Amino acid sequence: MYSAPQSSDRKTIGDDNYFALVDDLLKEGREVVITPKGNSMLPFIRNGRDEVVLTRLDRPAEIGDILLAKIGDRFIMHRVFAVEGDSITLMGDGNVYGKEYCGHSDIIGLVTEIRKAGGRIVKPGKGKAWRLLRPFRRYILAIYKRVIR
Amino acid sequence: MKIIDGFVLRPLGEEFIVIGEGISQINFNKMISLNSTAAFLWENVEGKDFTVEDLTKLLTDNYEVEEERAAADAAAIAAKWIEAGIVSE
Repeated sequence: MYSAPQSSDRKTIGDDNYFALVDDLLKEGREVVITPKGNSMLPFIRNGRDEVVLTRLDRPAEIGDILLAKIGDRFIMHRVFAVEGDSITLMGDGNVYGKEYCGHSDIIGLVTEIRKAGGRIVKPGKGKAWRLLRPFRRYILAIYKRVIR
Repeated sequence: MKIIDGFVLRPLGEEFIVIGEGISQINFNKMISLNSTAAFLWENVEGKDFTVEDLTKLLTDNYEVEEERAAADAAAIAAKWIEAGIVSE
């Protein structure tokens, strides 16, 4: 069956193959720019709008790092909440409860830059203030979602 | 026309993508993806000077497609590649 040759200039984020390629490119020492999906990193990373620059993590994970990790079958980009030896706890900035757990070998990359849809470039920082505000997150996020989205 | 040096094809699941080998930052939003037919053409003209007619012939020789349609598809893909900056005229 003939299907016309096609060349398209956009590859949406998604499956295992996609992340396998991200992993390969990072291992080659390159930086990778992707547009994350989901609201779990609000308010810093907005679904489908902001781009992030990833690089390979060449040091142990630290609290506050935003990491892309493979946890089971899922690919998650969340902030490091705690590190104890090889046990890393992740939590999305936009999440109120849920946490994920992984080891250093599950880490694919580190977010080094957030490129806002308007073109502004933000260094991700360590999210300390946001962490301290955790008890109030649900209210701040609710207001944020009502006002901004 | 010719594929510009440094652009290579890499498999991505059932598709293929074109990546600049020397580029240190790869933007997935600006990535060019090829389906298997386009990848077949790419592999057969890599490193060579080629024309739209060459692409047409590759299609008609290897797929069940009428020449007229193959010629139109070949011209379209060549134009896309030039526009994307991965093939020089």
